[in-house]
Amino acid sequence: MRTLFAGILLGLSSMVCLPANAVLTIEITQGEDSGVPIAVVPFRWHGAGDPPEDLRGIIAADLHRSGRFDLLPPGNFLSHPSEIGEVRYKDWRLIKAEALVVGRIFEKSPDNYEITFQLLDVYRETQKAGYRFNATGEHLRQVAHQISDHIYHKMTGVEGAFDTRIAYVTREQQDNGDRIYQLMVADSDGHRPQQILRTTNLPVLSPAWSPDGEWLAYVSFVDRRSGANVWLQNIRTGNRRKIAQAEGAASAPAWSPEGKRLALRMSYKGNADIYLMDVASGSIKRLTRHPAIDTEPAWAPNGRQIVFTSDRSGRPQIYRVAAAGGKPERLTRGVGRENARASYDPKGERLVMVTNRGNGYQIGVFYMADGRMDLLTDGTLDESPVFAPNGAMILYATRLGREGVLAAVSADGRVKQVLKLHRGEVREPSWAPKKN
Amino acid sequence: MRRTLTLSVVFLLGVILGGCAATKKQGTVEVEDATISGSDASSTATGLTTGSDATGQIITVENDTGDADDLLNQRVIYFDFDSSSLTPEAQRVVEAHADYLTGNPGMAVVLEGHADERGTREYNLALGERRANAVTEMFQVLGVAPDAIRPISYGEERPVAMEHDESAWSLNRRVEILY
Amino acid sequence: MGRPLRGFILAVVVHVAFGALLGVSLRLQPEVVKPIYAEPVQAVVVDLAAIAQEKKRKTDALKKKKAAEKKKKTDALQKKKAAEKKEKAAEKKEKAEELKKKKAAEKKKNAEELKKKKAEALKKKKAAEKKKKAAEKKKKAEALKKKKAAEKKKKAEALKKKKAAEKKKKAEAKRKAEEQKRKAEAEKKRKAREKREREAAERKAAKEALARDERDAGSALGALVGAIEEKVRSNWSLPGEFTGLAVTISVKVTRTGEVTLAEIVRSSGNSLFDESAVTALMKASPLPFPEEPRYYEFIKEFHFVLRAKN
Repeated sequence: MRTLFAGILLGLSSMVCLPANAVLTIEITQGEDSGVPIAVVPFRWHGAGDPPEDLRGIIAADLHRSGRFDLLPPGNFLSHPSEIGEVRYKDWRLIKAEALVVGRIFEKSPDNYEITFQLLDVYRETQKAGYRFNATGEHLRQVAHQISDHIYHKMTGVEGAFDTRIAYVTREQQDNGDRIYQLMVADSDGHRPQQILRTTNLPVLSPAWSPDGEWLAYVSFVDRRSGANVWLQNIRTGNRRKIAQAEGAASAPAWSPEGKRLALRMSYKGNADIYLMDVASGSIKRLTRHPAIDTEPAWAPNGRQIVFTSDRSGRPQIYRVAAAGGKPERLTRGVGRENARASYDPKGERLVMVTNRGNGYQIGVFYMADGRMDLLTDGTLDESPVFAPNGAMILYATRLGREGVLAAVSADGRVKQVLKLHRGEVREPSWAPKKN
Repeated sequence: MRRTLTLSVVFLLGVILGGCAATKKQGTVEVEDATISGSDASSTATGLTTGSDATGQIITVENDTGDADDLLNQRVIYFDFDSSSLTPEAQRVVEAHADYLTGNPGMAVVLEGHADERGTREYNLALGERRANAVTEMFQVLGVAPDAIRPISYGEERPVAMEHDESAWSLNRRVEILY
Repeated sequence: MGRPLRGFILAVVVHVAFGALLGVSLRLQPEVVKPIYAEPVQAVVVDLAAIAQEKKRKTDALKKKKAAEKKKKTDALQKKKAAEKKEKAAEKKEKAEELKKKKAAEKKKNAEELKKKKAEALKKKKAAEKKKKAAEKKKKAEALKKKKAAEKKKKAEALKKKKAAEKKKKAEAKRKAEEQKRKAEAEKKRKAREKREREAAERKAAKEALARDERDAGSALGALVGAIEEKVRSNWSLPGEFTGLAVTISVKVTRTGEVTLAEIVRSSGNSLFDESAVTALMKASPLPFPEEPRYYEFIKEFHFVLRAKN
């Protein structure tokens, strides 16, 4: 064996090592990240006329947006199977697909569809997942997102967040100078937007989803002569109410994980502090007491801590305080001259926030374990970041040319995509929790 | 020369004070039912506002004489980045308005605080409030009754200059005195 | 006597009376006696007369016992003496009888001996006669025997001679054969030695050739490691962040580099990561591989370590 060793070393152009037991070993380190090559075959349509939705298109866009997949172009497919029995694995190995998605839509009766799909491992020639759905036409997009979630989960081990909704604010300037604000709710890919609230010249900001996805809290103004207020609006019914407040302005609402309390900023005698309010009774408890600006509270997933922004040290930084009360401790040290608008990931291990290192405002991910911060974006006026419910992506507001737009970035910063949502300015995204 | 000046001042004053009563801007909140199945219902709430129009025209008179009327014409106070302290120039403007208000007990002002777009929206909402409060405190020190002053904040939401540079930002860091 | 004084006296009297009554009443109360708890004792009725009687009885009994023992002893002794006496008498009787018997036997014996002697004399005589006859017969037989023996001897000698001659011949032949055998063996040994030497030389040559092949195989594969690495790496896509993970996989390849087996030898701990590495190897098949058939044996199996980047 020693001669073999010598021989390998002689011909060496890269790493080969021989551990003590002298088995010939070749070491390979992963190269540049590329997505998993996956082929999604257009779903076969059994029905009259055109298929009601392009399920393949929705699924491919979801997987592409996640940054984890390399979608193979359908033009290269040698065959178009719709279920596992029709698959010739050789065809797919030829185009180097590792995973294959095949499916069918079947119109059982008018507006009543059955959808099936299977996710297949091309090289092992086995099925990794397969499901059947029944839905009406208006739910077909949702079915496609659920299929994307299944595929994502099986391939990455992480739950998908495609069958979710987002809220955001738009602003359009009319010719007469009026500014129309809209609070919108849409699918996570920006489709099926619905208007929840519309105002003229009264700004809307800080939308926040309740944990059960039934309510949106947001900030707006009653009229030109009043300060900011917090409203709670039921998504389904449209009923809304302003939270009771004694005096001064209120803003920056954040729902507790069990949905019974709100953390928010209230100003008493002109001093902005963090307060906790019981949603049902309206009773409030003051959490911070400091002449500095304390605002932008966010709950930890365990409901026991709250992070918030405070400029008590001069410039805005992130602090953490126990929800039961206590002395706040500063979290962001040596990571940017300004840090604000922090919120937790679903596991409570990271914070996403707006950070300024001297070159404008970017989105950063802060790791609670060691206090380090990774920059995810490189704009100058990036803001309002929020984690997806699976912690794998971050939605935030940025500028594209003159326009304010929303963008999605994978949590490791690798893949960025701008969401085409609306004319005019789009800002203030909020991601609804996944409903079970 | 002096006559013209007085006339123009009077004229301008008339415009300003007359304008207060004239224009009414509607802030309409339209709440549309967002049921996914699509049935419709709507409710509206209307609020009336008085005061200068949405874009907040700034009418200032350049005058070195420090004439009280000229200062009274100045309705906007500017601030440095991330600051809520009043410059000496600002203080003089505040004094003029304080004099006016203490002399006219029926009058009341809304102090609208603003910030430039840098930083987060909520922080700027609180920063605008802090600026409005700084002016409020000074008014109170100068003897204006508390219920004649209402400080509010719009943060970065109502800029007067839309560009993304310091010249625009410096115009947006302000408190507007609205009668 | 004044009224107050009378009153005083009355009071005293009353007091004394009551006091006395009290004293009496105190006396009248039964005294509380604390019970004394003693240990219970077996109640035995003590009867002195009985005791004396008992004593007498005991001593009487003892006396009786002693007397009985004495009597027993003397009885036994007497018995013994009587027995001994009896024995002696019996012995005597026995001896007398024996003597009688002995005498009778002797007498018998003598008579018998005489008889025997007579018989023997007769027997001897007969025997001598017989002997004589036998001797004669013997003589005759011997003479015949001699004759026969002489003939036999002659025959035997002749045969012996023949045999000896044959033996000699055989021995000669054997000797010759052995000589030949020896020669042949020597030859064989020589041939074998030569063969061994030749084979050893061949083996050595073969070993050297193998070693050379092994070396060449190693360097041939080594020259291709870069290409192999590139091909595997470009076919490896990871479905997430797996910083710091590494998996060891054992592969078997055909002569053309087709991967026929990819087995996880040491898992990274994450099955998705492990599977992605195996998939990469399957996708990269056929691996760049040396073509020379002589090399195949040395490099047909080897290991990969696939490591995520940091």
